[in-house]
Amino acid sequence: MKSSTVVWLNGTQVSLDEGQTIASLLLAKKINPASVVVELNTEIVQKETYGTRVLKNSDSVEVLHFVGGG
Amino acid sequence: MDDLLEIGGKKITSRLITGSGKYKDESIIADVVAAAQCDIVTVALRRVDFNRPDDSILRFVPRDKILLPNTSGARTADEAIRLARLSREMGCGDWIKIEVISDQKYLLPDNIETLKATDALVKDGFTVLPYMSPDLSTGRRLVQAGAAAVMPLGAPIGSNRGLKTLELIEIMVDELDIPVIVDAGIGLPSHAAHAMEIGAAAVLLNTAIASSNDPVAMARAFRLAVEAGRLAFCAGPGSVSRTGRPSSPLTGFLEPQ
Repeated sequence: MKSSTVVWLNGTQVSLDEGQTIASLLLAKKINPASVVVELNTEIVQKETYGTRVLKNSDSVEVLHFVGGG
Repeated sequence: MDDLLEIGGKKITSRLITGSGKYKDESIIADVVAAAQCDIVTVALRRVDFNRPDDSILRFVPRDKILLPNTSGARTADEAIRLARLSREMGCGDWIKIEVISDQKYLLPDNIETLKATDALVKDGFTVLPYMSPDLSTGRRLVQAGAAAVMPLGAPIGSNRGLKTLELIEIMVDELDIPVIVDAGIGLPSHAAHAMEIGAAAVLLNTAIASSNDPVAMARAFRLAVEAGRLAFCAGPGSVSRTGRPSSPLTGFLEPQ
């Protein structure tokens, strides 16, 4: 049985397959990496490292994009 | 001669800046922006809704516009700085509208935290446009900190009440050497024209257009009002008098009484 990693994703606790990277997480969520910015434990993640940043237990991931605003 | 507004080294044709929030149907934003003929559009940074992964506002904002992300939601300078850096990472430029609000009743900005955030973000290479409560001393400090413009409010955000802070804004226009952009509270084209007539460099509005029954028509109305107000300011108003002054000659036919 695959072991899992529990992370906070946009404020909600979720369980992921162990070894997931930011890139694979975005792919699973059908998110175009070019249209978002990702913060991992309050640090901005450079897009070119999405494929190598493996998520660990208790990580806090924020996936943000532009919405309407004044 | 072209009457261009210069902010952060960019020459801006339109003195109407529009927001992209509060639209019931965001697909009309492109038509609104076209009717407004604006060069700058504000946006906000928020969490992606994983149930609607494709709903970025950028789908509806023409690519040739300057994006002005705001730091709405920030209650402190540190939160505004965090939002600004995340926004820049989106790759849409380094302009940022600082918005720091801890008062949830009137949504009035915190000038002290705004100044702190401006200072830090200018040092970090941003083109900073702080939204502020109109106050000359804070305005001067924001200029010293390197703000590209200052954006005093006319009335609380989304209130559509007009230029309730008119005299304080006039003082800022008179005394500050950077663009003064009236942001928030403008509800009608006449409010926008008035702001431009007193020498505001531009106006920023969102709710007045987005909450109109016909946002595209209202965007055009604001464009015309901003242009009219600016022309009037540049032309220079005539003198004001308490008594009547004839517009036609008093001599040349009927004898004076």
